[in-house]
Formats: sequence, structure tokens, C-alpha cells
Amino acid sequence: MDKRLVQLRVNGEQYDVVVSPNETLVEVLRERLELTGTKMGCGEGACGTCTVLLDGKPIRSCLTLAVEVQGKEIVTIEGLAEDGQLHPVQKAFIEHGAIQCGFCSPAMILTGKALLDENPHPTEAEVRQAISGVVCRCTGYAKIVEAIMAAADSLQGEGKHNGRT
Amino acid sequence: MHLPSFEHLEPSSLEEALSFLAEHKEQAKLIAGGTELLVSMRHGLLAPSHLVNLKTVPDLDFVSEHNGSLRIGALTRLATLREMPAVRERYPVLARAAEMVAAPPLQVMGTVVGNLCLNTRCFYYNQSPFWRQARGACYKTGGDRCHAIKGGKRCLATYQGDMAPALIALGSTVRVVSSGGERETPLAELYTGRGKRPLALEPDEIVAEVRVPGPVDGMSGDCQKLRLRGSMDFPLAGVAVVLSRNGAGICSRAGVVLTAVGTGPVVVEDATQLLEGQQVTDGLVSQVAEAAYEAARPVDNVGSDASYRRKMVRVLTRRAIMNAWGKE
Repeated sequence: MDKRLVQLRVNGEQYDVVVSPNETLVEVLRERLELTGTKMGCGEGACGTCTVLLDGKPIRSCLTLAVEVQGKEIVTIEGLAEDGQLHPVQKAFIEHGAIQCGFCSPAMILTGKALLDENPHPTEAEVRQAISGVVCRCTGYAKIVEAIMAAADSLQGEGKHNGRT
Repeated sequence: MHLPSFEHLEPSSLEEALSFLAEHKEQAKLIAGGTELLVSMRHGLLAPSHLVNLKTVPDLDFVSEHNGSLRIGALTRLATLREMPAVRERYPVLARAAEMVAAPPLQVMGTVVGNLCLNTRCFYYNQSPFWRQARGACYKTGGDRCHAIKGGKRCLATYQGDMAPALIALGSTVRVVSSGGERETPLAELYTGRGKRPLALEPDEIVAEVRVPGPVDGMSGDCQKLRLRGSMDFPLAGVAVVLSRNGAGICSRAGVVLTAVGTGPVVVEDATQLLEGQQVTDGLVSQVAEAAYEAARPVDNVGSDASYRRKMVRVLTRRAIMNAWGKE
């Protein structure tokens, strides 16, 4: 089995990694790049804790081969904070108690961010639909939904101040 | 658990992909979305020596309209079908079927054709090697018994695709290519009805395209699905209904197709007979729902018990017809 040199673009940085074809993206992120914020749960695409953003869309990194994502933009939970400032979705999760054990939080936060990038004013139903691919065993989802809705509001407020839309 | 090792091939054309398949036959598997394949490999159900990455083949990711009919390429994602305005407007039943597959991230990864080509599933098959070794091989894994049905004479693994019912009810065909040539076949005939080997596809063939006939005036449809977790699971029973209503308020064309209640999608022929040429009354809907119940043959091998799933076919069929007829 030939190993291959792939260039991965993760959180805006390029990494040259030698991988085997059977290595999944979550394995490479966690074990090679030591970006352990991405969690490995079921490994079968069911639980969603391995969610990362691939070209802006949430995907399952446990069902993605690392050799197949060369040249794509990958964002993990480590890539959300800017200049030491947490992303508004991260802040909202803390403020609203949307994190309990924390295992699903990276996936939930990234999914929430991807939703708000695409749809800055989602309804509660749209938030629930968006996060429906990630399982949380602690919160009962209510606080996660609240946090994403609140983040939408704060991003909107920020947008007004900074001229961002 | 790591994936077993394999060589990863990246064809730059459909011809090259086909020649890889012709060369490695059963030892090669196509990977598009990978959402079913990689899980099967992790479970040790498949151990191909070569994966042929379809994503490096250009021009397979498209949805286009040709002479009024719709064409869906082999790499078209479920999310594309779910979101595309032309599909939502002209083939809403397809958008609805796509948004019921698994969960949104898997719709971003998984393809329409991949969903059509899903392997059959069984509680005793889709398990880790550790789990399966305690019982020994069944028909599906090369053994001589069925664990789901005591004394079963053949594999009764369940076909749980979500897209096939809607596409079959719309009268779709598939274009199947191999290095030896190509054929166009009704989608319904892609399914053998055998649990062990559910697809009428040779190892060197690729489903390159799905062709959906253009919508006719007064056409409407609906899909209904029973699953344990509404947000993500495979269907435990599912139905797609496509009806056409003519100017006189008569049902001029009808298709009712079931999933997850047999070894392949189940076309309810009696439903078409009952509905066509008739006004859709409450009594008729009950008769059609009964015909769907009769056609469904679920066994106790996925999620929930078979008799409940069969009864739900009646409920879901009624709901789907009412929704479709009311929508027009």
C-alpha cells in the first residue's frame, strides 16, 4: 500500500502529511496534526462528533479519506477563535450553558457556525434541522438551540457595528 | 478501528475508471460519498484491494434538463437535489426524498446514485466482526443459514434506500456503463430482489446517470418514512407516491413504491390499478393502503418489529396519497 504525500489546508495553514490511503481525516487531524478538538465517536457516521467543515460545509471526518481532501479548506474547532477571541457561537455556548460533557460541542459549534454563515437569521426549526446530524447525550439540545439563536443575534449586532453583513 | 488497507486509484476519466473496474473486478469498489462503503469496510464486510475514487472523474456532478426530462449524474449529492430550485419546483417529491436521507451532513457527502446502490441491510449483518463471529456466517456473509428467520432458505436482508421509491414512482431509468458499452434500464430493474446480491450490476459497471421523465400537468407526489430517530436513521418502512390528476379530477397515473419492507424496493402494482381512472375518495385510499400492506413483506431484521412496520405501511401510504392528492 503506497503512502502518499498530501497537502492539507487546515484552519488556514498548510500541512504536508504522508498518509496511507486508509487513513481517515479524523485520524490525521487527531494523531498527526494533534488537533484533538475534533472527536472520534462511533466511527460509522452516526453520532456526528467528528464533524469538521469542508469548504464551509459540515461533514463527517470519520467517513472522509484524508487522501481525498487535498486542496480543500478544512476548518476544525481550533480554527474558530481569532486573535484570542472566541467566535460568537463559542461565546454563546458558554453563556447559555450549552456545553456539559463537551464531547459533542466542537461538532455542534461548527455546525452552528456553518448554518449562520449560510443563513444568518435561522428559525428555531432551521437550527434544529441543521444540528440534527449531531448527537448530544447531555443537554437535551434546548440550550444548544438557544445558544445558536443567540449567536445569530450577536453576529447581527456585531455586523451593524463593524459594517459586516 | 482502522480501515483495512487498500490502493487508492484516481481515474481522470470515466473510461479510466471503467478500465480500473474491469481490471480488478470484485476486488475494486467505487467510492463517491463513501458514507456506506467506508462503514462496511470498517465492519469488515468488504475488503476491496482497490478503491476507485469517482470524485476525480470530471463531469459526473450535474443535474440538467434535457427535452423536458431530468438527468442526475453519478456524483450529484443528495444535498444538491434537496436544495436545487428547479428540482424543488418541478420534482418536489425528489427534494423531499433527499432531505429524508440520514442527516444533513450525510446529504452533503452522499450521492443520489450511491443511495440507489445501497447494499441490503440486516441486524445480523451490519455489525462488527467481533459481534458477528459469535454466530458464524449467514447467507449474506457466505454461510448457509439465516440468523433473522429461523430455517430461512435465503437471505432476506432489507433494502433501505430512500431515493429509489420516489425515482421509481416517477418512472426513472438508469444509464449503466461498462468498458464493453452501455445500457439504459428501468430503475426498478436495477434491483434483483435478492437480499444477498441486491443489485443487477456487474462488478465492472457504473451507474453513470439517472433519467427522470418530465413532470406532466397535474402531477404531485409525497414520501413518508418511519424511523427510530427522526433526525438520522435508515427507514424502517417508507413509501413514495406519485399521482397525476387530469382536468376532470380523475387520477390519470399513479405509482406507489415501498422501501425497507423487502429485499428490494416494492412496486405496488395493485395500487396503480386501483387508482388509475378513478376519483380519489377516502374509501379508495383505504383500499390502496391495504394493497400496500399486502405487498409489504418486512421481516424482523432491522430496527423495529416486522408486524409494526407492516402496519405502518398502511398508515404511511394513506398519508402519502392524501398529501399528494391534496397538493396538486
